[in-house]
Amino acid sequence: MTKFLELCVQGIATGAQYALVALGFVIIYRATGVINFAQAGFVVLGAYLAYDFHITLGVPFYPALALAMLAGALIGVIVEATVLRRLVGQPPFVVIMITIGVLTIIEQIVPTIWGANPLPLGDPWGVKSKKVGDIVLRVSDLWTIGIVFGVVVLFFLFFRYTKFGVAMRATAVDLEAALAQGISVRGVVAVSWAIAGMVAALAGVTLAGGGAGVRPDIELVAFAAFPAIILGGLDSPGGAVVGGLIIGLAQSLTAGYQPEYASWLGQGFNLVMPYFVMIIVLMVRPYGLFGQRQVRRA
Amino acid sequence: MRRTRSTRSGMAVFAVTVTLALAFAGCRGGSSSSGSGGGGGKTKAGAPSPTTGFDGTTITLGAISPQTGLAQIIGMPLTNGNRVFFQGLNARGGIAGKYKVNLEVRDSQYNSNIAQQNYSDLRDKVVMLAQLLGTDITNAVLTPMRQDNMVASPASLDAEWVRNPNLLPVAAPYQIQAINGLSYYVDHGGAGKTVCMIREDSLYGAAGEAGVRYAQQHLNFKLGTIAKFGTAETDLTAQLQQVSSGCDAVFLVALPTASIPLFSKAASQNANIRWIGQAPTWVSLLASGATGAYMQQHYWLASQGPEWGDTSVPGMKQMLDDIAKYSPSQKPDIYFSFGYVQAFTVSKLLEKAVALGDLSRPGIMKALDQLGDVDTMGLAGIYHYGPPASRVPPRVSTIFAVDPAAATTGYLKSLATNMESDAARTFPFPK
Repeated sequence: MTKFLELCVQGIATGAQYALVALGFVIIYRATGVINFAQAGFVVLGAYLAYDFHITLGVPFYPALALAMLAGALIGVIVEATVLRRLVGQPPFVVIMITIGVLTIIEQIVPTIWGANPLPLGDPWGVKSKKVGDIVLRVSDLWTIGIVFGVVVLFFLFFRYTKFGVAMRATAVDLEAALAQGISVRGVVAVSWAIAGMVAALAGVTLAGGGAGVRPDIELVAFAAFPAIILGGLDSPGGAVVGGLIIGLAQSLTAGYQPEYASWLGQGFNLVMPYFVMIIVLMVRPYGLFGQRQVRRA
Repeated sequence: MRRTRSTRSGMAVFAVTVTLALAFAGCRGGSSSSGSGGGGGKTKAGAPSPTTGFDGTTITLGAISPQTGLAQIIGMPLTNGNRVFFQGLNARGGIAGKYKVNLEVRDSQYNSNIAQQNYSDLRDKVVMLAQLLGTDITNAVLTPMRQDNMVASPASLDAEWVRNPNLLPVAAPYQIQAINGLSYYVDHGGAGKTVCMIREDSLYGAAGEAGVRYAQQHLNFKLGTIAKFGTAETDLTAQLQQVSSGCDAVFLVALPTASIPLFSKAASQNANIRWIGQAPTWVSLLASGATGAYMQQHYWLASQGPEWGDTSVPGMKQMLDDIAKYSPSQKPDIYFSFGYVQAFTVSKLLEKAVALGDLSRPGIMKALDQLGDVDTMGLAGIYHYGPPASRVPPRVSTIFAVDPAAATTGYLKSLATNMESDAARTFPFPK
């Protein structure tokens, strides 16, 4: 039972990291219909910016995290304003290729500025743990879960009770109707990129915390969040969170039990499991758990 | 303009994009090629004539190395080690005092398929490969290398490389690292204890396991659980659980992408295990980050060479002088040192080829057969090269402990420098 509970907590923590990454993808997809591959690069940049604010400039950790999120938001807005705004009206495929280009540029810039060696984030969580009965819980995992919970609450309040949040929801539902109502679609898109940049920085810090270190290959973990995005539904922030948690749990429990009970499945089946779960869910719900069903008009 | 929300079409675009992204990645490089590099390059006496990768004044070498992705933590400093050595060598006049060296680097992303394309791109541009990083990657390009008479220096230490006519390996193989590491453990409190293993499910992992199994036959310890993990896996929670009980020590064969999260979890649990890591498990973050105190208590590294900064070793002094001139921002790094030693060894082979008056591919293979001893000035032991059957690699390893306060030595303090255990002395290299 102890093992099961530990695996569950760890799976939820991993899923929470996936959820943060997935939220960034979903926010931009809702606003623009584009899957922003540069999001993985924003995650990496966010982690390095937090490192620079905290370790290089000596800002205390939590203010440094806030500064990194603001810087992430700024980067998101700049990328949107300087590159992607000029591509309005182009086929989505062209825009997606541009985001891959932005990701490639970030991949080259990061090791050039910070080097390839992993850097210590200096987070206060470190490798500390708490013991609850026989269960050992990593403090960094608990913080990650708490952060995602906080972000989900903030998202809910933002979309539900703020003017801009309502504008974003309206734009996501019907662009033309939103324009007719006088909503600044350009502003909505810019804010979406800013939010995606902020969430990416937060995700980067949770991925680099707990002794994992700030390193360029954080983006690989970010890409592991793709099944969560598809599973939850490309246009659903709630789906991103639920999808992330399901994928994290499935991965953790598979890693914990499959070598013991189904070793014939081979090494590393936990990496396959997210895709397995995704396929099963999509067979039942082709639009993802919370994705919008396609509407065709004659 | 009306935009209709379509999750299904979004998914289709997503799938197509991923496919294209992979295709682009796979299509890098890939020039057409021909021949075995045998044309030109030879004069009966005096200077070698121009040939593939040699224009009469500059020798072009290739490096296939992960500059992005999972293993860039190793590939980037190692390649910088190559570069710094060649920059210093060029400043000193070049190969044989007259031929400058140019290094062409291709990013393998630690992927065998991409490495094969890198090779196709480089084969008509270089005289040899000064670096080929990764055990599986080396295996992936060996067949075309044989056809092309190409020589490469692998930046991996599998004992299988010792007898390969196309390879110029450097330093003691992984098997020897494992044997010396476990021998040190047995001599320092580990006699009669249970040693387990966590290892990558790859040829690199298999090399480490071969060393552990040989050591178990010749040393006084019991072999416990051997937990494997896939090359793309970075979360080793399950493997850690497998060795958390019943193991006094664990020999680890992994890359830093897996060892960092593993040690982060082991430190959180304060797992009472003596870890002995093969060289590529190490990265300085393990000491400078949150895991430092745990690593100091629980981890030994089986690698090679002296402590960083030990200028009583001639090779270290030259390396530090070159770093000061050509890469002053380079921090202490065992992978940089390896790259430097590797480039040094390559330069000795090229000097031999120049002395024989032939820088063609067959000429370089002939030079490898006649190279003899290469003394790495104390950085990685003496390697005897010659016809494959007669090659003798060094059997020495250095056992390092972690010191989080010792930033100037790369956080590593030598416990035993260039030690050669009795068991390592008897290890038979594959025929």
